[in-house]
Amino acid sequence: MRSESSLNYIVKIASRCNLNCSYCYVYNQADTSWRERPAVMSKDTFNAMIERVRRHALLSGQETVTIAFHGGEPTLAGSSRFAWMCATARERLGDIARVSLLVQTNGTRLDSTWLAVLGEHDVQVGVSLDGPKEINDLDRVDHKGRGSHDAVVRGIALLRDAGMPFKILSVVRPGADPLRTHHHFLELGCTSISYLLPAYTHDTIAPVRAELGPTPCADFLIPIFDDWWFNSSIDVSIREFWNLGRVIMGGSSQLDTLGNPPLHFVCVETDGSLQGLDKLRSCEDGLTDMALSVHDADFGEIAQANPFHAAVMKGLPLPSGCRACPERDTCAGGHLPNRYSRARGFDNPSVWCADLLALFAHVRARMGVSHEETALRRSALRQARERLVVAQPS
Amino acid sequence: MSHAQPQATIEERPTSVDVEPRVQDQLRDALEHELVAVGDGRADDGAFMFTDT
Repeated sequence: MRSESSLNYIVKIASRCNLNCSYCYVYNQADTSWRERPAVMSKDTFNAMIERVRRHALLSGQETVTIAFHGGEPTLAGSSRFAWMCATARERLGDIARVSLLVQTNGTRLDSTWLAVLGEHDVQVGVSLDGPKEINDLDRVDHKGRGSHDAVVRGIALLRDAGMPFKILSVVRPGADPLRTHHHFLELGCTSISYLLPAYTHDTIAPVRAELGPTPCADFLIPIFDDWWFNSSIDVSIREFWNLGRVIMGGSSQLDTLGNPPLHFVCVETDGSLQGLDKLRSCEDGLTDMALSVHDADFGEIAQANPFHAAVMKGLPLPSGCRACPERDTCAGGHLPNRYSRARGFDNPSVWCADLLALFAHVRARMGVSHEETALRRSALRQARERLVVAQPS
Repeated sequence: MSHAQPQATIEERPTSVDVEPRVQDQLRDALEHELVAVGDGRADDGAFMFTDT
C-alpha cells in the first residue's frame, strides 16, 4: 500500500528536445526556465537525486518507487548514460522498494541500441504521437518545421517488432478526426492509449472556442469512447476513460487531470532543482520552481519551503464556480493548468468545463450510473476505508 | 414477410467488430472489482502519476 507521504519522480534527464511542438508547455508557452538549465543531467546530480529518493522512500515506507525519465527528449541524454541511470536506480533503491522505471519519449531516436537498453533494464515505454501524419505533423514538428510522424512510427515499429509493450500519449487536437486518430493508434499495435486535454488557460483559450465551438474536446473524445465501448475489450486501455468510469463508480482518479487529487510525484530538473506540477509551466514563467534542489534538500522539505506547491500537492480548493456543479466531487474543476487565469489564478472552472460535463454525461449514460449512485458508492468506499484504518494496529 | 430494420440509435448501436467480451460488457464489473480491492485495502486509491507519462 502507498503511504500518504509516498512520492514518485519525474526526472528531466535532458532539458532540450529535437522536436519543437507548437503547443509544448516546456518550450513554447509561458515558462522559459529551460534556457538556463544544463542540456543533460550529470551523473553527480543523478546520484544526489537517488540518495534523496532513497532517504524519502525509507521515511515514507512506500513499497514501490516509480522513476519516469522525461524531458525535453530523454534519449538526448544518450543510451550509455541512460543505462547507467537505470542501473544506479535499481542498485541504490532495489533493496528497499520495488523500482518501476518509465521513459516518455517522442520515439524519433529509438534504434536497436536503445531497445536493448530499455529491455535490459525493464523500462516501460511511452511514445508521444498525436495521430496519423496529416494530424500529428500539424503540431509535432522538428526545429525546421518538418513533421515527426514517420520517424515516430519507425520507432514504434521497432518496439512492436521486438515485442516490447508501449503506450501512446496523445494530445487532443480539437477539430481533428477522432476515429482516424484512434484507429491509427490501434493499427500501430498500441493497446494502451492516453488522450490529454491541451494545456490552454483562460488567457489563451478564446481562439479555440471561436473556431471550434464550446465542446471541441468532447466532440473529439466521445466518438472514441463509443468506438472503445462498442468495439474493443478492456484489454485496450484508455487511461482517461478508465478514470472517468472510476470516479463515476465512486473511486478516486488516478490521474492528476481529474478530481484534483493529492499529487504523489515531484519533478527533478537537469540541474537537480525540484519542480512542482510540470504543466503549470503553461501558466506563468517560473511558476513550477520550488526553490529547492536535490543537492541541498530532502523531498520532505517541500511542504515547509513552498506553501504554494505544498497546496498544489495536497489539491487546491475547489473553484468557487464549481461548488454547485453536480460533478464537483468527480471532476473537481479539472486539471490545474486549465483552471488558470492571470486575473483569478486557479479559482476558475477548467477551460474544458463544458467538454468535461458532456463527457461525464455521456459516460454516465453508457454505464447507467446516476449522480445519486455515485454518491452512495463514494460514501460506501469511504466508510470501508475508515473501517480499515480503525482495524489496523497503530 | 419482411420488416425494415430501424436505424440503430446511439443507445442501441451494434458492434461492428467481432470482439468478445466488449468494454460495454466489462467496464462496470472491472471497476467495481478494482474499487472493492481499494475498500478492503488490497489496492491504492488516488492519483499516483503525472499525466504526461
